[in-house]
Amino acid sequence: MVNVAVFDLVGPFAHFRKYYTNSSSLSYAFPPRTALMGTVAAVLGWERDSYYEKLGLSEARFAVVIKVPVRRLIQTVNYIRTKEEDLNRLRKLEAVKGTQVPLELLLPGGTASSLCFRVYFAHRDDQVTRELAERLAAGRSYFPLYLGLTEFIAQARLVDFKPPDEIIPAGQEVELHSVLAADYLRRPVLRGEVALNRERAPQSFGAGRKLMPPRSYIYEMQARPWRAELLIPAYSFFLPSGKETVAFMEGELWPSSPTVTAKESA
Amino acid sequence: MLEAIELLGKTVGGGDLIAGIIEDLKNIPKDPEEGFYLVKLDFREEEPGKLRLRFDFEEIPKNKEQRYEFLTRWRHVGNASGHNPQKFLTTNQLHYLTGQVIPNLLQELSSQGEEGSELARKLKIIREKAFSCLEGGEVVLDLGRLGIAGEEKAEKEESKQGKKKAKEQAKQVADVLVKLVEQKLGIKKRQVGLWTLLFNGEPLVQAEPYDRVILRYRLAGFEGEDLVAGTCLVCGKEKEKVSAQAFKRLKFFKPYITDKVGFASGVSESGFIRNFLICEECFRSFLVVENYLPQHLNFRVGTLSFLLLPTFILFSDSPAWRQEFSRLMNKLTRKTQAFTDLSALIKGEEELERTLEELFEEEGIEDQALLNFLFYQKTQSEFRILGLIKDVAPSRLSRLFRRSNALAQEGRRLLGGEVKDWWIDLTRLYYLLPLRGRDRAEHKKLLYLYQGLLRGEPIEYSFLVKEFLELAHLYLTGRFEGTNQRKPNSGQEERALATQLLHAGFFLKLLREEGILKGVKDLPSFEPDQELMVNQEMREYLKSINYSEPQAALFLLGYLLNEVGKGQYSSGHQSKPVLDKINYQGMNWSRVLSLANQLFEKLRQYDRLRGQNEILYAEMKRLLDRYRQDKWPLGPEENVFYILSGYAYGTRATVLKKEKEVGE
Repeated sequence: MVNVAVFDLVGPFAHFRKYYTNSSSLSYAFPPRTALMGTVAAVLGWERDSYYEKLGLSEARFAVVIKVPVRRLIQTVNYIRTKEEDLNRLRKLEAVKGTQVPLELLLPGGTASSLCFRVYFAHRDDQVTRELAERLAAGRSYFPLYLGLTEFIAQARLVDFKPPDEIIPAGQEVELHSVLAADYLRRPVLRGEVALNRERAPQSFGAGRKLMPPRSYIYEMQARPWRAELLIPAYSFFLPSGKETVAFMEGELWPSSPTVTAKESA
Repeated sequence: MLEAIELLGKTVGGGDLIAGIIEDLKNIPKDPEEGFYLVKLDFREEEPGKLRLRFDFEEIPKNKEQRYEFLTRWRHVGNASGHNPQKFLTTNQLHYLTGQVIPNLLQELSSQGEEGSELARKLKIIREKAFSCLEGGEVVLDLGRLGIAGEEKAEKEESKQGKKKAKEQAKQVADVLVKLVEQKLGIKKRQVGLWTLLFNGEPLVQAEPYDRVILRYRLAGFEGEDLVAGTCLVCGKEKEKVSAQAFKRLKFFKPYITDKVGFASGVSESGFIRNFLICEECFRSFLVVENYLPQHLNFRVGTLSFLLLPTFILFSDSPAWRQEFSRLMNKLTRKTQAFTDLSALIKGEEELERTLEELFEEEGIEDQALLNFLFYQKTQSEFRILGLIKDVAPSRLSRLFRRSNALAQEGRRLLGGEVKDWWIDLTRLYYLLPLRGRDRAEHKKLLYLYQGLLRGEPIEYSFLVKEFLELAHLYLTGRFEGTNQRKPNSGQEERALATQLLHAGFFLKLLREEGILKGVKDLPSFEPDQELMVNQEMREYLKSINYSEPQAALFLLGYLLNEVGKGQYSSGHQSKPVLDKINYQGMNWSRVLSLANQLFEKLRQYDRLRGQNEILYAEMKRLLDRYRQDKWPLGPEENVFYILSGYAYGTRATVLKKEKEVGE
């Protein structure tokens, strides 16, 4: 089974703007797949616009777990106004009017002091996953990391690097920790205190940084695991902090790294 | 949120886009006797080479369904937004019709290649025979050419430039027409909801191709060079034409804009095609939804507006599910309306019973949807999101209903009045916080309260106590201007304050019972039955509100303060000077003790230290004295709040007694 790099993205604030809001910017409760692509590329030092294919839906697998309940706060921020009439003044570096934009911030809820998103990443090319894990373990991210906005600096810490410990086949009831692509849900099993939410978020870029079709995701609001029957397999990892079961945003993991298989057959 | 909009679009948006974007009227008179009209300006070819203007009118139905049918017939789609040229023939602004609409519409028809259409032919006749051209080339309705004498223009207006002058003149002409309508039809300006144009008795809105003009205006984003082939980021389908600029034609719901390149990828206008693209089909749904939202899912609490947007974890595209969805939406909006402002929904006790029964009835609705409360501010074309309270389960509303109902029943039993007087809903909470109107961030306090209540999140006790004290101070000083508080009728100030403070007490009780009151000290409660010598009503009240010993001591102190106040009032004081002894910023333990000692003297001075009051004073002192050696557990602000709660209870008891006496 292919290796998976498990790492935590930690920071005090976050804002992952919903692509359909800008005059009032609302945030997803978790980093969408496009933000995770950027994070991995930043750790590996891949330049902007160079990695969309390398981390595309067929090449990379991502899963994300919201580890700390998220609190939301709308704060109005001052942006520079960039209407057509302002552009000439801006070009001449003259003072221009500002524009106020309500920005929804994510903050740690409960008693936590930082937000924490646990990312599960696997690449078809095992070397990519391995390099990511090594860089994270050594604390050598190539570019600085942030949670959505450059102002919200983040740290990444490697949690583990290994293949999944257990595969739970599709159709079985699982206790899921990760965000789930809605079309992989066969049936939620609503027991106890569970508050599910559904969001449509981007998943990848195409040529020219154009957004690919977005997808709906389901997550638990209070960072609690929830039970469901899925249409895809789920993967359990025995981590130092305990067992976690996730479903990848793109579906199944590869049984083994194709690169390795090719080498072996050669 | 996007899914909620898409879902609504699929459900409420039928095939007929024009029917979907018909706008309702805002200023319908509340008086059922007063009529509200569409006035028709009918240009008639009665003499060769000339036009005559005739007036006609039709009543706009008050019944919502009939009105909707009426407005659809007359194609009322509102006015063009922002700086866009006005081109709609049914409008609430008469000066658009006397000025720019006809030339703009003719230009539009020409650009569509419809110069030869029935509509263009009629409009050209009107423009040639009834309008005059100004120096700048602008045209304005010329009443002189229609045989109607207009008022002389002031000389200084002649110097005004082109468009501005034309606009002024169009308004002057409109004023003359308004007077004529009043004379000839007997309809006053405020009774005119809409104006429209007719030609030889035929409504111009029915002439070909007026409907296409409307559609072209709203779907302008799907014409021109900006269109690309690509993926619609709403439905996710590949389409031949998707637009990044279509959103410009949204009028109400605009959380996404394309007029500032700073928001575009690469900080250039062409970068918008990398951000958010929409296909025509989805945009049509958007248009219908943005019209539907303010009419059906918009709620108001004081000066604050919010939209109710439902989310469904699982949904299907089947017609049966859509039907079910409509039913669910009706139920959810009614529930939300009731929790927003119960008093506005019901009239009497009987109706309350029926409404509650209906609201409490559960049919699995609780599991099917989550509610999002989107608080917003709409100023001109800007749509600013103030806050989003996400994922409120309808069962949470039901739970709060039940809690509020139980409290309200108890309020009536203990303090008299009607059940709805003690009901806690969003509107009541709005008036429990003193909000300064000028401060744009004041809404945050209220949203904090709503979020806590609706999502079951903790609310700071100290924050509430501080706010309640400010509220009391505001009522006692009478400085209501610039705040969200309604000025009570003269002579009713004390009663209003007492009611507010009692509501505050009940609200704290509700939060405590819900387990979301944060930062409150866990003080031992006591049994007023066994440990306090007070009358039965007060004992019941103290028991219900579950005050601890120190709180009860302050409550009694406040009650006696009211007794002194009554004494002062009856001895000729215009106000109650004893209230000046309270410091609304907070009073520490020694100040409380000092007030308790002064109170004894004052009770004697105003001859109030008799009967029950003497016992109450003794009880109050006994409870306070228990803490002489130990540390007093309440903070300075809490001290004042509980004193005021006793004062409020006393005031309410006095008012009830007076009312009873008058009744007898």
